[in-house]
Amino acid sequence: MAGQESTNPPRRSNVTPILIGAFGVALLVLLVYVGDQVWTANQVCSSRFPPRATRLDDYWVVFATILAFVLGHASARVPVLRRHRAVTDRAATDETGVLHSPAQPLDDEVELGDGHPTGPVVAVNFAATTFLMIVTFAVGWEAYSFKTLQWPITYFARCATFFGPEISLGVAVIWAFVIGRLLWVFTGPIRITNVPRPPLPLPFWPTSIKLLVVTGTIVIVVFLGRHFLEVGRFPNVGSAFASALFIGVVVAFTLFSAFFNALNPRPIGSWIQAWARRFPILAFLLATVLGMLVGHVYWSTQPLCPVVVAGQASSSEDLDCRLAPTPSASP
Amino acid sequence: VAEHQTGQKPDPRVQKGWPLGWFGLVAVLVSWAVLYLHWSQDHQLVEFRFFVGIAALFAVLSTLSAHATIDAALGRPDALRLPRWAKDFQNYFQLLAPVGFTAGLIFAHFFWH
Repeated sequence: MAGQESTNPPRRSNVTPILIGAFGVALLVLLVYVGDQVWTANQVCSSRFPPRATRLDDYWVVFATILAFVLGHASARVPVLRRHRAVTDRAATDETGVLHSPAQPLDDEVELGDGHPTGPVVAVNFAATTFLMIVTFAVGWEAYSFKTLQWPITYFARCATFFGPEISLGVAVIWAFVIGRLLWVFTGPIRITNVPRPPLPLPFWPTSIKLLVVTGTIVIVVFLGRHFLEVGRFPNVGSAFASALFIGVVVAFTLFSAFFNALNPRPIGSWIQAWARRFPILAFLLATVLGMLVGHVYWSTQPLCPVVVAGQASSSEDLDCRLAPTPSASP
Repeated sequence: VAEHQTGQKPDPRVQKGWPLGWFGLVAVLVSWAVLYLHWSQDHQLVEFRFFVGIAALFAVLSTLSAHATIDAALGRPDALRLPRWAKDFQNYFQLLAPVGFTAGLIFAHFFWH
């Protein structure tokens, strides 16, 4: 019974891809709305230096993102535990009362494709590589910006956050949820048996082409955004681009997940979680850097002015204090 | 861990190649040492050096990930393999993901430029 359980492909739900797709379309609408609002605003923020504090209190960002991270993990973990318990119960109800066959490895527990590289494994590896390269490019661009005294991406993102803190908080929560769901995974109790693993039917090329289209779109948006940055109104256009980039990555991933779930027996999340299990150090580093990204862009507080360095007030060294209308009005 | 529990022999398709992971680790450490030496001589441009260091780390990780992708496409499993003594150790990183996320959140909040 349990052996048959492991050889049957998981049931496919028709509702889930539709719900995910609807959520992706809603995010797409939000992206267009935010881009339009930020682009056409009178002035999203100071063109000299972006403000740190927004009209939302700090604890909203901190606790909401951490809670979303934990909920994301729970949303992936609870169904696994529930199915595992169901399979274990079925295995235990043998006629002789003896546990002949321990629970077979579930799709979520075993490392999908481990030892059997297939299309989705290669595709997810490829996507992870592309994402790491995008992070490398973005961080390198930040360094280049400081060297050449240009505004880094962070400043534009901070302007957008200042302009729409509520929507930004929502985007930060979605990011934290996705990170917790995909990158905080456990191997769980390993129950390896001699039952051969089922063939993994996903073809390589269609999956890779879909991922290529998504990542290619992101890259094109980056270059177009840079172009607009040069010709557009400063800093509105750059801020619109930055906010569109942060929302756009989630939109692309959500829509792709909907297509993937509709066409394949296993959701893309399972494959990404399997990747995180295979490369836990990479997943840890990625979770850390994405946490830094969320904290750096969405959580910022006004400094205590004047800034005290080595026991001496040096407010002139801090742009926030220098540009603030009333430097002593900070909390 | 699975190998210990099942007594399976190592997969013969796994080929012993260049120790790219060690090369990557050395490359990251050398780049960080150079950046630190530059910073100790000139305390300007702290942000620039910080981001170059992060970029160096992710450039190496991207390269290793690309190597794993190519190996998987060629049908070689477990392209990125840690030494045996480190295999069990790496599983602890699964537990550390929330620590990394939260620490990154707090650290980057304070690292404002």
